Parts: sequence; C-alpha cells; structure tokens
Amino acid sequence: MEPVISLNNVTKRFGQNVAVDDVTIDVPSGQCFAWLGPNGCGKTTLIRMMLGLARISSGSIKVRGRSVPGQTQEALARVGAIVEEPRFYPYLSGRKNLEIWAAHQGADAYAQIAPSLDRVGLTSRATDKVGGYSLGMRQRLGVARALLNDPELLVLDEPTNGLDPAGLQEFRNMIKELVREGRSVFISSHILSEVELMADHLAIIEKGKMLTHGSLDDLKRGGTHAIAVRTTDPDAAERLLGALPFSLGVSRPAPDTVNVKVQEIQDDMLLHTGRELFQNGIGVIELRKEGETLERRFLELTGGLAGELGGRMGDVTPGGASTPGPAAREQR
Amino acid sequence: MMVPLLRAELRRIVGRRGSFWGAIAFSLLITIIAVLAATPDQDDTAVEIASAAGRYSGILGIVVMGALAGSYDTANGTMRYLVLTGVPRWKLAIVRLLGMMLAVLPMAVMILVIAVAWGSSEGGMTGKDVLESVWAVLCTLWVWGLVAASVGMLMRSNGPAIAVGIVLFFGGALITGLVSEYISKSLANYLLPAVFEQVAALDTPDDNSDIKLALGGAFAVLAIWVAALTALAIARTNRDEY
Repeated sequence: MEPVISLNNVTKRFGQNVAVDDVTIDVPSGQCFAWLGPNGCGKTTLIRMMLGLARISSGSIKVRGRSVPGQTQEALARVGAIVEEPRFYPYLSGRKNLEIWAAHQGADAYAQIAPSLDRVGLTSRATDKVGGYSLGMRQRLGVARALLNDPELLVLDEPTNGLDPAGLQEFRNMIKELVREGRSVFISSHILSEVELMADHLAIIEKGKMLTHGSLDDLKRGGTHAIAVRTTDPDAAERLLGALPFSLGVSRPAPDTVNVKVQEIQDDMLLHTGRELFQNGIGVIELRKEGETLERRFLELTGGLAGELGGRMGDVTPGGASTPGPAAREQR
Repeated sequence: MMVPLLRAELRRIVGRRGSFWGAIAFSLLITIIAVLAATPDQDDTAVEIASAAGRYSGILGIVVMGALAGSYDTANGTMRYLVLTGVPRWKLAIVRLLGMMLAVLPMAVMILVIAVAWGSSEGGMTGKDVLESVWAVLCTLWVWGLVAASVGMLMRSNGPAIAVGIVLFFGGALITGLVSEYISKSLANYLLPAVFEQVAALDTPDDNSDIKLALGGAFAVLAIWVAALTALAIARTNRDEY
C-alpha cells in the first residue's frame, strides 16, 4: 500500500539553525502514526512543511502521493489538520466558524458541519461564541473542522492539549474509530503515555533528527527492562545492585528507588536481587518488574529528556541516565 | 467558487462589530453634525458638504476596518487554516480585497442617503451634484479600503497595520505638502494623497491651481498606486510561511 506521507531527506533551516535534519520516512496509510519528541524538537516545523505552510530547505515530501509544494492543492484536498493550536474567529459561534471553512471547501463540507459537531460532542454548544470556549472545546472544534472535507489523512499537532481526563478518553476512542473507518491519522505529541495508547507506528525525534521509527511493539521490544527496588538505603542499594552480574546499569528514578537495567527479566534475577539486599542488611520496601514501556525506550534513545518534557514523564526524574553495570561492560 | 468565499469574507468583516459598526457610526455622526452645523451655498452645496463630511470621517473607520481585514487572519493564526483548505493563496488575498470593497458599501449608502436627503430639502440639487458625490464617496472608501487592507496584509499584525494605515492617510497629506514645498511640485502631484484628491473630486488642471496632471493621467497614477500596493500584498500572502 502506498504510504500516505513520504518524507525524503527533508531538512529545514532557519539561518544557521537546523530545525529538521535530513528526515526520511514513509508513513503507512490506514494507521495512527505518532511523531514523538520533546517541545521544540521540530515536530511542528515538519508538519508545517508537510502541509505546504512552510518551505522545505532541501529534500522532498509527498502527501497522498502528490508532491508538496508542487501539488499542494491536490494533496490537501482530503487532508484535515490542527497545527500548533486550533485557531478560530472568537467573535463567531462554533457553527458559524465551521461555515466559514466549509465555504472554502465546497458544498460537501457544509453537509459535514452537523455530523462533525456531533462527533466531537459540541452540538449543544455550537451556537455559543468561540471566544467563550475552553481550550479543550477549541481542540474539539479543531477536530470538527479537520473532519469537514471527509479527510483521508488527519494531521493533528499536540491534539490532546487542554483535554480533561474524560475528554482524553473520548479523544482516544475517536482516533481509534477514525482509523477503523480507514483514515490515516498522524499525530505529534510530547506525551509518551498518550502516544502509547493511541499509535500503531511512531517515530522519535530529537533536535530535528529522527532517532528511530517503527511499530509500537517493535520499538518497545528494542528496549531494556528493569528491576525497580524501593529501599531504606538507596545509596548502598545503588552500589550493590550496580555490581550484580546481570546488571546493565542502575539509575535513580526517585529518591528512594533504584532501577537495575537488564536485558530480559527472569524470575531468578528477582530472587537474586532480593537475596543480595537482604544479606547486606538493606531494607526493601518494594521489589518489582518494570515492564516494557515506550517511556523507557524513549529515555534510552534520547539519553533522558525527562526534564525537558516538563514532568509529563511520570516517575522519571531528570538525570535518569544510568551508571553501567557489569553486564553492560561485558556487552561492550 | 468566488461567491461563497466573498460571503465568508464579509461575514468575517461584519462579525468584527467594533470596527465595522464603529466606522459606520462615526462617519454618520460626523455627517449629521455637518448637516446640522453647516450652511450650504452655491459653491458648497448641501449634498457636497454632507458627502465630504461623511467620506473624510469615514476614512478613519475604513482604515481600521481595512487594516484588520488584511492582518487579522495572520495575526490570529487562522490564516494557516484558510491556506489548508487548498484555496490558492492569491485567491484568498483577492477575496479579502474584494470583500473590503463590498464591506464599505453600507457606509457609502448611508452617507449618500443623508447627503441626498439634505440636498433635496435645501433645494437646488442637480443630478450632476448627486453623481459627483456618489463618485467621491465610493472612490474615497474604495481607495482607502484597498490601501488599508493591503497594508494590513503586508504588516501581518493588527496594531502596526492600523497605525501605518492612519499615518499613510494623515501623514500622506503632510508629506505631499512637504514634497511640494521643498522638493518638487510636479513630483508631489504623483503622490497617492494628491492623485487621490484629484480623482475623487474629478478635478481637471487649470491655470489657477497647483494641479498639473490631466484627469486621465491622475486616474492612471492612482490605479498604479493601488495596483502596486495590492500586488505587493498578494505577493506577500503567496510567499509567507504560516
């Protein structure tokens, strides 16, 4: 199947600054693809180039098989998008705003206004002025606008910003439904947990460079696992656990927790860890397996960007980079 | 395709109620004050006085309305979503300019209704007076509407666009005077405020005035000014990143 988006050595420079650096990727159609990276890493710039809003410094882009910017009009004919923020005319109602955009997209788009509003749950507020909408409501109206031209491809830049937990759940369900309808969805996000719940495929980007891409399962499998130990004496535990034969390294995700990175967790490793701690008189509050998470993989690839991700990373603290253990030294 | 786009553009302009209705209200207020305060005579007929008061006061509102029409979408971030509809950028820009020309019509009609009504009540109004007033009002509002919308598109930001539009109108007359006084009288006759005044008033050159351009030449120079500004605005809209 032809990729819905094809990026070939795409680069964007602002003077000396390289915002997007030689990105090449084919985005599969009919799936939810996520572009994951911290704020300021070039996600939005890439989206703007894909949609013909910004020029490419070098490389080429194809959307729905048409080159951008050469055939932008044809390429965008069935593309809906939210870029950066959903912006509207605040002095007009939600419905009148959609009518303005429908006027630019033809009669079929008018017919989609009511179903789109219904789909995002804004029918009852459609006659209210957008100036009075919350960010979450504007996000939803942005999705409604993106659906007006019955898109084959939806490009959504940080679409979950401003959504409350219930809204997030609804949004995730809507994305899944859109994919089930055969549409392709391209989302960008810096929220790992969100991406993990929505995406089939993803690419990780940092400082304009694509670090890796692939299916969610493949990416998670490519990472390491960890044994997490909450202890009464984390300093001593860190020294001890770093010397375990199967340790690839240790890190301190929380003040009282030490993570022992391992290639594959086996039960005897847990037994061994507990026994070592007990024999050395180190109190254990909790001993658990850390499963495969995208968050772990992301941190491995980016060298620990938790601080830059503004606390959206849950239990991971800045400086989560680990001290290599014996197994890691052996691997080298 | 153009009609729905124009309708949408008008909806946007009229929706900014402060600038749209404010411009009309201010212009009408000044026109009514002129009607109440002025005494018409043979040189300045009632219809001329009222239409002049309306169109000159109207310029201020038109400059604000036009600058907003030109800059609002870029400043507000909605321009990128208009571009994403696939409508060519040049078409979006032209629709904006045409929309502005249509949006000034209610103001023009209201000024002219008051002017003609006053002229009728005073008596002695000729068809030529009415036609000249219609032309003067439309020319003023269209020229400054297009200039302001173009400046708005070039500036991309609401505040600076309004400021530059106002400076262009009020400062333009001053600059024209300075150029005429200290640099060259004939050069001053080619500047926008000078040719605009000549064309709006349909003035032909005579020995007793400073007007040096033939009326046809003034029309051509004014058209070049407006075309140059609008072409720059369209070119910027085509080139910009959103």
